[in-house]
Amino acid sequence: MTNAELIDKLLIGTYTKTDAIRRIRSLHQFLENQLFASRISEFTASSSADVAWLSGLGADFMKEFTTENMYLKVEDLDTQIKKIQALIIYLPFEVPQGEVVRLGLRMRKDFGANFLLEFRFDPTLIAGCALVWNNIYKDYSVKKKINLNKEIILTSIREYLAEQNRV
Amino acid sequence: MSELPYSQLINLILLVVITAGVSIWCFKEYFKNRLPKPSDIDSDIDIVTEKNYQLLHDAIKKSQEIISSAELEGIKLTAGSKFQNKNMEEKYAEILKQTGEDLQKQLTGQAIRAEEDFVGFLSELQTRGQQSQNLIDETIKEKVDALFVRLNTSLDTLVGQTVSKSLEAIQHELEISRQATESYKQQQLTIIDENVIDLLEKTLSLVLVKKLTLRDQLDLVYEALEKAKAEKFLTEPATTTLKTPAPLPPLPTVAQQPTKVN
Repeated sequence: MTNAELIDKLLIGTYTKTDAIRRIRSLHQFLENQLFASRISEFTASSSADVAWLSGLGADFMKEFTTENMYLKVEDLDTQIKKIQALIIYLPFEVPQGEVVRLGLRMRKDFGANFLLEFRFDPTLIAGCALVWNNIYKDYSVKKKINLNKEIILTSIREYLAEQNRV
Repeated sequence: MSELPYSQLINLILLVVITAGVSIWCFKEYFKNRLPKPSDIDSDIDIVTEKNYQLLHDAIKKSQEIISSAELEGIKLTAGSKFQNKNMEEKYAEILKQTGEDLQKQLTGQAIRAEEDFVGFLSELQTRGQQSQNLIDETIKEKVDALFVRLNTSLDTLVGQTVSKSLEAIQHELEISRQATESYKQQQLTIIDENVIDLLEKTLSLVLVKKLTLRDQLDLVYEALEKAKAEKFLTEPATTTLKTPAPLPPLPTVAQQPTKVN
């Protein structure tokens, strides 16, 4: 199995860059546990989802790693994963894991199997989201919409206040 | 009677003398050619000699008469000339005297006239001097008046300009103050507007967080993603090439077993 195929395998069911890096770390720990059991007493995954992901990798995947190449391969996989450009999505709320999967699947349908997301929290956006792609920030939030329609809103407020004063 | 000058008289006498000489010479030549026979000669000689003497005597007499007449005439002419000279001298003297008197009179008249002219000139000069003085006085007065008028005008202009400049400066200051006030007002209004917008944003963030469901929020996110896709914002990155879509495996079941792997 080549590194690219290993990465394809690794990214199955992993839709965010944070998850991918964390899972590489889990894989690292898991492989250390498997290959050097004498050194590490036991492996505890950070989440049940990661455990499920590790289980889903299959025995063929694990065979690729030996005591000699494990560190190099894991380091290479980590580097490759970090090189992948992720779509950064700023959100004013926390996305549940199920929605992350749904969103990831939807994006991969349009942009390819290795498409990764990266969620960041920004409560000032009010609603909607802002995106960063190719180092370009684009705001699609309600805050941006308010700013775009600031004059209309202020005019409406002024008109309302004027009407109130007349009354 | 015309008066002959003395030189002409001398010429006349010389003419008479020469004429007499020539006549004698012609006479001698005539008788030399008609010489008589020797026999007759002696007798004739005496006669001829006598005749010659007679002729010579007559000629001399005639010449003496002529000379006398000429001398007399000369004396007469000289006397006449002297007389005429005297007359002329007198006449000339008279004329000279008259001329002198005339000249004196003319000179005197001219001197008087010159004096009168000079007096007139001095008088005119005095008049002109007075006129010039008056003119100068008048000019000085006019110039002084004009100077005062100009000074007055300049002062008026200066005062006007100063007042105008002061008014302009005040106007400018007022305009600056008005602009500053307007600017401040605009700034304040902008700040108020910003505050209103901030307030609105905060209110909306507080309200919408409570009012919007997760589904609504996610719908907005999907809408934004669709919009980004439509705007071609999410193009492929220049540096990282994504692989062709791989077949999607079934989703890992979260409810899958152990959390603990040996």
